[in-house]
Amino acid sequence: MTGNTDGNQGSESTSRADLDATVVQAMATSAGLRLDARRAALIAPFVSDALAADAALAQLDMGDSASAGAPWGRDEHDT
Amino acid sequence: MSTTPEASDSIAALQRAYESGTAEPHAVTQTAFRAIDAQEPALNAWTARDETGALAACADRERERDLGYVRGPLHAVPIAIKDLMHVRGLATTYGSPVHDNAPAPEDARLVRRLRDAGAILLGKTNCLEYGYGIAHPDVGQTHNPWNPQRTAGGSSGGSAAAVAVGQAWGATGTDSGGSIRIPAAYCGIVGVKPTYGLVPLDGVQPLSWSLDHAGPLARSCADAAVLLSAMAARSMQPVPRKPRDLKLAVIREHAEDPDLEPEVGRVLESALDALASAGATIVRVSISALRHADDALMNVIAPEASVVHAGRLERAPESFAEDTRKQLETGFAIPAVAHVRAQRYRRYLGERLLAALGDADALVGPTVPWTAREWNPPLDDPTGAAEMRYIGPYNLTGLPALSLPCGLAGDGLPIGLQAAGRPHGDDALLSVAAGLEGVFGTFRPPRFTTA
Repeated sequence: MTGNTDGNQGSESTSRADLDATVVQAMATSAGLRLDARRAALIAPFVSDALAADAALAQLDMGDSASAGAPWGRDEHDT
Repeated sequence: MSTTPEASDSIAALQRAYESGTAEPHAVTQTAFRAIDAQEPALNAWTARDETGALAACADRERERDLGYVRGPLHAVPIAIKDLMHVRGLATTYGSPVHDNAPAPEDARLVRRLRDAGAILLGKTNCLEYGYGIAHPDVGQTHNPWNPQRTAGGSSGGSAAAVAVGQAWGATGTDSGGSIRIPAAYCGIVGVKPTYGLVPLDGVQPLSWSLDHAGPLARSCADAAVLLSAMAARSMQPVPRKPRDLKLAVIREHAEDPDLEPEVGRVLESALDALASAGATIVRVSISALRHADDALMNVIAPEASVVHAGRLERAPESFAEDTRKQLETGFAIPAVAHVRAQRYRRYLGERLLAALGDADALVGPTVPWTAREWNPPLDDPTGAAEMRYIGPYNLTGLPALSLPCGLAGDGLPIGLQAAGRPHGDDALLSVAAGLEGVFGTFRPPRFTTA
């Protein structure tokens, strides 16, 4: 098991691309929420953070871990 | 006052007082309401009080006892219900000033189980707006019984404060990112987030379906076990483990986190030293995968909460507190791929946590990096993420986890130690925690007065 010696438990060093408010507006609209430009600008930094975090997670080799099932992983761990 | 100090201190002691005739439910419950009256609205822990309903239930429980029928350890025990859960006949307000005032037609299933077990429902407790990290300014946060200038934490802050200050013998809470364990730590009580799925959530307002849990807040592990047994409809009778038989795995990423305030770290290490002196084996483990936990939690909770609240966000976005609204809007702009990747990470992390646990009895560490602050931070800022850092991994992985007080900081505020166990090992985890509690002792705020 490797240790996390840097102590940084936020996203890894993947660079963050600051999204433009119009892009965020389009993303929210595509998911069903009408958002004006002012509101989109307010949340753009948080969406940028979320995408940077996802990019960091994409670098992690998660082996054969599935996206559904018991949240703790394989069922043989049940007591 | 008809209750003895002992009866105020534990559910078992209250039952003994009932059995011996030194206390009776009607007087105990009335005294609880007078204690609430004396501390509201300063504490801001309650959204509704149902004295008429509670006293009617007391009459029923007294009649049953007179007939020789005792429902169990919760017979005539006054408790509080978080206001995200339906209680028959009372409106559910969700920590929001904008809600339907119609009384709930039915109890949430876990509430019905508590009622059927004999508990007396005193009323509903205050919480952060829809359990999503922010106190709506028109509702206000619950204040900390140890220092009213500080928050009781959230989102189950009303439940935690009511229990800590001795108004109720126990309470219910929900926990999607620490909402039971954070206020338990800030208020110096025990809060249990059970294994995912153990306690039913029908009749409970969702926040994030795949992260939501319900569980008890109590003044001891024994009391928490009594409440959880009823909520889960599963008998749990934890026997305190002897410290010398315990092996505890301290998570280095949490116990050595740069964001951990030095005073909290000092008290935690003192607590671990006390356990070691009592014979416990303390080992240190490292789980590098935890570095992604903060972000993965947000990429699960944000889109799920946004879907939960989509209708209201479209119809009346201004009805949410501004920070809640921003969190909900953010969730709509997170791609499905990010959510799925975070879901996948949960199982990966679960495997890593269980591997680190190995043959130890529990994973342990601090519950929160600091003692109670003045306000609850939004989830999507660095402080909010750090507040959830040690607890979020167990929402992600569904492993049972609890917080119990392990000492006081120099500012007099309590500090929580978190312990986590194996899936469906809730009873075993409570046995471990009861053993730790025997070393740490229990803690009561200076303002605590016997109910």
